[in-house]
Amino acid sequence: MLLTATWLIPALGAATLGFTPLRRQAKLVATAFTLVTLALAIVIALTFDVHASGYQFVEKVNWIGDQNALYNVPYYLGLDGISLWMVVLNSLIGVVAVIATPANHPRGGRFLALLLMMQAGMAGVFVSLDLVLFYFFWEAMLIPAYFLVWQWGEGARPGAAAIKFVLYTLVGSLLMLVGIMGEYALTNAHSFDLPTLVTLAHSSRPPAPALQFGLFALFAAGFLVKVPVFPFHAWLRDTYMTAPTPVLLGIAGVMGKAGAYAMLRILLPLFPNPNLWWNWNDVIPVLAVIAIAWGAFMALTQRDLKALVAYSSLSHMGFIVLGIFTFNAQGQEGAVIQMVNHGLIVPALFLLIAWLQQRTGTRDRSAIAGLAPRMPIMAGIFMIVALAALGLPGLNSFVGEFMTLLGAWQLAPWLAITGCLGLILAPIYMLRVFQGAMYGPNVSLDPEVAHPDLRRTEIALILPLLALMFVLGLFPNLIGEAIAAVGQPMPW
Amino acid sequence: MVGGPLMVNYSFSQAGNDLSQVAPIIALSAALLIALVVDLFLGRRRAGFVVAIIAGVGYAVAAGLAILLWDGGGSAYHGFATGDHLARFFEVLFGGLGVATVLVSHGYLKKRAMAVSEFHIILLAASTGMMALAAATSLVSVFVSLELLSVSLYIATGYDRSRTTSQEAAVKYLMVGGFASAFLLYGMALLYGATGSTVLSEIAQKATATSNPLLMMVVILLGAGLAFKISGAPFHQWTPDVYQGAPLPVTGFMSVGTKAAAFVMIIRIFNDGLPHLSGEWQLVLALVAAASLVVGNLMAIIQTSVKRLLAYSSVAQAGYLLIGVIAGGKDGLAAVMFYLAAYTVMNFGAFAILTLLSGPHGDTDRISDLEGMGRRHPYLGLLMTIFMLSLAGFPPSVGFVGKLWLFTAGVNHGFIWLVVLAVLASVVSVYYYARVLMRVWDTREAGSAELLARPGVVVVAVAALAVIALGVLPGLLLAVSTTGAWPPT
Repeated sequence: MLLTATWLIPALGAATLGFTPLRRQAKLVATAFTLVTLALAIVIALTFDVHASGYQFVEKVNWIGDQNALYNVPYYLGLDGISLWMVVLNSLIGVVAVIATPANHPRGGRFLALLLMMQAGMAGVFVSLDLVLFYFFWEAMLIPAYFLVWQWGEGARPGAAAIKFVLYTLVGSLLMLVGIMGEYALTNAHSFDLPTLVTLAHSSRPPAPALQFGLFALFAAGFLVKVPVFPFHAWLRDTYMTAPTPVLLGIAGVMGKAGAYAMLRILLPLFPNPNLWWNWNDVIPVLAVIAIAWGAFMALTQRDLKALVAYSSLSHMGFIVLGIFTFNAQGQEGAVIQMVNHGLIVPALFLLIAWLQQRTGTRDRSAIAGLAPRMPIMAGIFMIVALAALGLPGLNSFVGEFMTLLGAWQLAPWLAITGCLGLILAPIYMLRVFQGAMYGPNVSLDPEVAHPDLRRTEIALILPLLALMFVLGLFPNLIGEAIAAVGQPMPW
Repeated sequence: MVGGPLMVNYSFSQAGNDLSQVAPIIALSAALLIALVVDLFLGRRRAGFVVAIIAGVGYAVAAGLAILLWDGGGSAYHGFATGDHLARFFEVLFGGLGVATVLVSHGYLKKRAMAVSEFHIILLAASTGMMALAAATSLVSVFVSLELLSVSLYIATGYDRSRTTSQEAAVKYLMVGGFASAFLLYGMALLYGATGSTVLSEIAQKATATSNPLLMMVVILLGAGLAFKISGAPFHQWTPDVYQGAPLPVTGFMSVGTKAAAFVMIIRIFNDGLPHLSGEWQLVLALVAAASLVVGNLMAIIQTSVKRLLAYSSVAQAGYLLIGVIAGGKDGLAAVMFYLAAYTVMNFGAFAILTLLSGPHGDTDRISDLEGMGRRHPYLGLLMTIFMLSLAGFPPSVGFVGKLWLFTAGVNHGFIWLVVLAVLASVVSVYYYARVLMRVWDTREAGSAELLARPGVVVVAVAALAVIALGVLPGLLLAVSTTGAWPPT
């Protein structure tokens, strides 16, 4: 029941907000629902057995049909050391996103309802162990995101950006749907049950490499677009530029991780040998390294802060995918740690950018300067987040990226060397932004802003994220220990 | 084939059994006759209301009988009709569709000042034809039921007599429909010539020679004729014009009813009647399916009329459905039945909303007519959103589950290329369904809310609830569909 509650509570919250005429209290109600979800996630994390193997908190009941029916699709949920952190991250970012929503947001009740729906969909993705159920939640997180980007988006044409986002991700996920059907029918498994399919893939008679090759491509299409990995990232910039900040926290902080998580949970275990014309396992790391370099170079050229972070995000997600496809313990552990780290850093960056924009009226890097004397707290927090983002030892990102590169070196040294490019460029674009915005000649602030520095509520909102950056930087084993308790055999 | 000596042995118990097999059709025909007579004797104003009630009761009784007599169905009238699960499934579906149409059309007819009783009588006749088509297992009964359905719909299409578009649509439909019937009849005649029987089960035993050129002609002619009826490309040209010209309740009724009836006909004729020529008709239908997927989805993008947009969308939906027919087998046919039920609920729901919003001066037709609807009627906007997302195939709607079964059957039987095409086509479809939603949730305009007819709103709400409920818990409908499907011989 615990795992059902992780998606059901936000869904109930969405229903409550959508169908009751709450106006002023909407934010309060939404906050309450997300806080309950967070509490639940913490309870799950504390009762999680780090020494067990196999899935925990398993729920399995008949959903569509039974053994005698044409199709038998169970409602099958479970949690292991990988999904645990995604569930916790999702519920944490859920709270932050709701609180970050301005109290007087236009049509705020519906906005928060859709936000909670998106959170519910993502929560479901991380705990489903059945491919049909997984697809259900996978699309369920897309629909609210579409309406949120389109109806509340910034910029001149939010509708166009929203439809671009949906069509892009939909091509991928529908191809994945064909993959699910192929996995069901062509492997002769006649099951949508993930552990069963994994067992089949590692049995003495696995599906033929050629079949694995085709199915891998179909599944990977869905995941590569979602992450996104080069060259499937064309939706990224428009969507990030358009999405309002609370939505962006969900999309950038958690939804991208869903793609990486799915690679780890579905792609690698189901298709250990996807080999026909080439081996897909050799292709994806190359794409990941290109994404690292491409994202970093593009981030260098951006003047708009949101776009800059969008491309830096492409670069960092490249590290995660690279780590997953190293096929060794260091790399994959680093990838999972990095998924959590990036899920903390990117929301913090977008929150800071939104607050900067409120105060200065612009996101243009070159138009903001000399803010530190007037906003000392903002400057301090910005510095910590920027240092975390560029991978300073002692802050969280360092460990993950280091382990990823260590893993990549074992696979092929040149991958690690090229990946280092991301590490070298990150300080350049992050520190350039920090220096430019906080020091240098003063520019005039919006005279309407009475209190230029961060308000107490804003500090309280970002402080948990900062605290976690330090904690995970100093004690990375908090995550690393639990990852050992994986639900299914991993390639290492 | 009706034989002389058999007639002699026709006993009362046999007659009772035969009657029970077609009881829902008889009930609907009785309602039709009663409605005709009542209309003669009552005054114009009162007759409309009473006929509507008779029609509604008739549909409900027919559906109820089909549920009561669910099991124990079998061949009747020497193989001319049947009461098997497939027939019962669609009798229930058409009964429900009839009740919904009566409820939705009531306010519309009043608003548009159209004659009420004739409307219901014509649709009763069409529904009788649809049910008979679902139960027909002989070429003769298939053709007679098809013509009953078609002729009623020609008249219904031109029901808005004051508008030239409606009349034009009726004439077009009559001409093109006549062509299609001619194709079918020619094919049936050749099939009779090749096998010497009109009963499909006997044809199945005799039409075994795949090298027979006569049978090749049969497959092509029947395929073309049936493609007309399901509005499959390239035989879909009539669909947008007829959908646009016909009054909205008629469009809603026939968009789902005719399609479902025609698909049962395809299943009966091809799957039951010509199992040995499956390779041939699978090829013909696969070409039609591929063309429908491409043409329907691409043409829908550029439409400015909602009716035409939904017409092209229905062409595309025919493409998805054909995948299940081509795949065949228990999973394929169950998927077709499941999706037809799903399509009936979601597509009728969408048309019902347009019907509700139509004013006294004409139908809601232009996409721009929907502007600000979500502001004026937030709940109706939400329901429209549910229908559009379901048509596009998003979970957790029944449209998604239906497509999942159809495509899985396609992959399972080796038609992966068709499934990949269908999947890419449904990405395109999201674009035009989203275009409708963009207007519905347009934030600029609002305007004032119109008064909506209560019974119609109830139907729409029930349909939307069904879309979600059957999407989240599809087990029961899947089980029911599976009982109606059977593995091919």
